[in-house]
Amino acid sequence: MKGLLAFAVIIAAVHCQKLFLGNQVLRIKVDDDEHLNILKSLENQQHLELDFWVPPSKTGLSVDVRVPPASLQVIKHSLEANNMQYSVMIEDVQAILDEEQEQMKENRRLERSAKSFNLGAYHTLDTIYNWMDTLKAQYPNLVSKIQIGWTYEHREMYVLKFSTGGLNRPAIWIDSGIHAREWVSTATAIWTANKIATLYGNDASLTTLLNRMDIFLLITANPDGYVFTHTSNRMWRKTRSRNSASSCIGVDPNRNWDAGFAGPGASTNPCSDSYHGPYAHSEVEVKNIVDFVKSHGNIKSFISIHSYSQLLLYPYGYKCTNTKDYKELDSIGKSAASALQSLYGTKYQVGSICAAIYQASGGSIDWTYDNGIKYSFAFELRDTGRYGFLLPANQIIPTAEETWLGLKSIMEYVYDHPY
Amino acid sequence: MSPFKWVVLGLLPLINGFALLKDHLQSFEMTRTAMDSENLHNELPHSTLHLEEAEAALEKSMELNPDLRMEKLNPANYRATRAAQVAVHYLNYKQGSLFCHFSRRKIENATLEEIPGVGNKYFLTFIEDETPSKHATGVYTAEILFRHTITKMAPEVNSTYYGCVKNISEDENTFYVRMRKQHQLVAGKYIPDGHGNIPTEMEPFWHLGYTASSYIMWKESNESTLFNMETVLSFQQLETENDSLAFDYVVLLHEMVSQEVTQWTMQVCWSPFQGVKVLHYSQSSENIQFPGDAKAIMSPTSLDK
Repeated sequence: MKGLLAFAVIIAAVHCQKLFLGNQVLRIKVDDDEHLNILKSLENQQHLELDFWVPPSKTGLSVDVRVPPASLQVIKHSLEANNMQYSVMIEDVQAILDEEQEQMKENRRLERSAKSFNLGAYHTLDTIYNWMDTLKAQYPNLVSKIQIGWTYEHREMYVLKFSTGGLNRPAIWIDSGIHAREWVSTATAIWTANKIATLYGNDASLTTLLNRMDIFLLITANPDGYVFTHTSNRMWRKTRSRNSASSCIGVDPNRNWDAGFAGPGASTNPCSDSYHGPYAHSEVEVKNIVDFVKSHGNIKSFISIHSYSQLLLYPYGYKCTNTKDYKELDSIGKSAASALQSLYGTKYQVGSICAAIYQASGGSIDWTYDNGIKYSFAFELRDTGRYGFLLPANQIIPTAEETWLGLKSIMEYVYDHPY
Repeated sequence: MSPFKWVVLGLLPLINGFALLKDHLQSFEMTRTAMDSENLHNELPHSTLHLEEAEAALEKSMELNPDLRMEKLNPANYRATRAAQVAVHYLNYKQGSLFCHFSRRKIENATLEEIPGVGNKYFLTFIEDETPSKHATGVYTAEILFRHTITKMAPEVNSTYYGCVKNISEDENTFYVRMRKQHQLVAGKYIPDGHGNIPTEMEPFWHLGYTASSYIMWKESNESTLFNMETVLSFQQLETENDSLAFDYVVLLHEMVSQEVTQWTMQVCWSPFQGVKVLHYSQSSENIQFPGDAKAIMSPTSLDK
């Protein structure tokens, strides 16, 4: 009978008819043989046009029947007159069918838009969030979406998880967009997410990695700031939190981590673009990541993506002395930069934050390193200043493609060196 | 002058290449045609670079005067990068070209000399680009002096380089002739726009803004800054009484160390003969919105051919 229903739905859909308007599905209790006989006789009355989804068979087994609106009163009176208990399982069959149609349409649209999402363009936050759902829908066995908290302005913060199973596997974390104006970092992360999803099962190295490790990808670590760059100020860097003693808004989220917090290279002035904030992890966006990393407890590599300057950096920023793993990190960095350069000739400098750009306290990869995540790196993507933050969209894909080679190089090293 | 200073001065020709080139760099009031004949028609460098000789000479000077504080820097170190950036800004402004710009190449060697009572001097040599292009020029060596004075002083730069190729001056002439033919003053906004786009018609105005901004970036630099121009927020052509074109420009500059993006206004003159000149500049407090989705606009929408 259900097959007939399905067929009818197709016909209805084709003819845009609402065949099942007002139809209800009743579940009727069959307590004794008398009930059974009544139901069997109802079954035989063709003019009632009853459609038994679960036909009367024996006592104790409830019967499900679809009743057209014209027969509803008659059936209900019959049942009540014979002391037969029933419940309305579906109030309006058409409504369910309509919803199903909508869902199917939506899924087809999501599928189409996953294929038609332009990876070589800059997108608004809403578009990016919608796209995350399409990616999830396209690769349900690999990709899931985790909410790690809220932003200051109450936007959700989502992390994409790439996992083939297991329980709390060793993981690699990648984040981008912590500084709102660094649009190419966000765009690169989107491309990268898509790349990981498509490569699994097709690329030996990545497949091997994902069979033993998870990858977490936070595409925008500063959603409030990102929205602000679209609507108001393309050059905005910080969060959008209100400062208590100042009319200036926002804290530099990469000076807000508990690593040499409030030391050199961060400003005490709320109006400054490198303001460290009132205290470490004051910014909810930073706190969300800190809490996630701590509670996960098994992250082996933490990679932050920024722009611009074409640098591959490792700790420390808050002090100008080398980490104890300096030689190893430098070697990993140089290999990654070399892999990156191999594609389009883009040259990267490799070094500690303090040596390569400046002493800067309160940075994310310093905190992660000091909290046991040895393979902590930061990328500063294209270019070296000609366009700076305003990198043309036609450079997104080349940037992402070359960066991928650098990321892969690091990830493969991490995989090969468990600790 | 102390013996040390004589030694340094004596070393300059070795570091800078031929004395002719050094004199050339110091007399930038020359017309562009004179510069053309020196630089534009040659694709080969003017001076042969004798790196080993330069380094040997530096070491010798250290022996002569032990008070000399010389420090070999890691070429990837930020101190070298910042000094190199200053040299690039200086050269871009001094060369004064519309379409031809220096960019900061990878540093091969870097040395810092602390001169007591004067300031810090950086000696840099650069790695050559494998594929020089029409619009690129190349710096071979640069010497940058940051004076430590109470009043702000612009860094002093001496350098060896190769300049623009001949075709650039033709492009500039073409643009100049076209601009002189326009019936209305040209104005525009957001080059590049929030998505990094620059409409082809508006490219020359970006180039002009970039060369002119180099003046500001050079003048405002010190050892704790690294400037880049982000965008031309707006430009407005002005009437002139002579052959030059003149514009009011408002630009956004990004300073890497503080991470501040600041707004500057300047008055710019240009002609193919005089090159780019900045008449005056100041930090701007005009409230110009720059939302990410703003598009580049120009008035008129296209230039008359």
